Amino acid sequence: METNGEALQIEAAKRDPARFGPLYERYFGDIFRFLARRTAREADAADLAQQTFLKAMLALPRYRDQGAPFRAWLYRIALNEVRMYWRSSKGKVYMDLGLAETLQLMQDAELPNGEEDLRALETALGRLREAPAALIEMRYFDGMSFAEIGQVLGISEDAAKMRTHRVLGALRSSLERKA
Amino acid sequence: MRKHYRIGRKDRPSVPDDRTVSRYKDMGRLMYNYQKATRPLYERPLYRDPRAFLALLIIILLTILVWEAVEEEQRGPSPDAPAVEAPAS
Repeated sequence: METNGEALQIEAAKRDPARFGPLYERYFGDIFRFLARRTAREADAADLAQQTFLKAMLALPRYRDQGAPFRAWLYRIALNEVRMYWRSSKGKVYMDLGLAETLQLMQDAELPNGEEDLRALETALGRLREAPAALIEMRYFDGMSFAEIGQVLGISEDAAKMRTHRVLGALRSSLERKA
Repeated sequence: MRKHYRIGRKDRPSVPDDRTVSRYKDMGRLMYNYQKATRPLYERPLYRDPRAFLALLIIILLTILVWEAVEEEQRGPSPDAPAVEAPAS
């Protein structure tokens, strides 16, 4: 759901693409950082961000406010773009994680947080499939609320919460089995 | 594609700061790409598009080959071909 000012900006941009500027100014930083966490080079993140906004501009005439904020719609496009980028990457895909967020994840998953456990977690995260990994990344590394995750993935807040807890449980069992 | 996670030993991974974000923010480029994407096809001459040019070339060559083959068939056997002699009775 957009604020009144934002809804007006969206309507203006639908009528005249040259008026997309304020929306671009407002959200470029968030989208660029979201992509930069998932790409090896800043230049790649910048290209993906441009591609995300271009797709948003092209799809804007079909955009309808369905309860989720415009920002979530942009994140959804960015997520699709980065997934295509990963698939087209011939080599390995790396994602750098901060220690503070990782420790929070380990605490929520009730995992021990020694040096060995961190290594084991890196491996376990790498084994996750795309959808569960996206939940963990958005929750812990982008710092999104469950409501925001739900809006991006097109599911309810409760469903986002339940699925994230399920992934944490799966991570815990996988690491306990290894221990 | 295999994803690898690297947990840093710093508190936070390096997230682009505001200055980096501004460096990559380029509304002019976005508008240019938008206009390029929405420009009707006829505004760009076919010979300027390598793929369309190649497709056009292939169509023309195929047309010429088919035309030649049809012409050849209509003309009948070549006068240079050895005449078939009637068997002596």
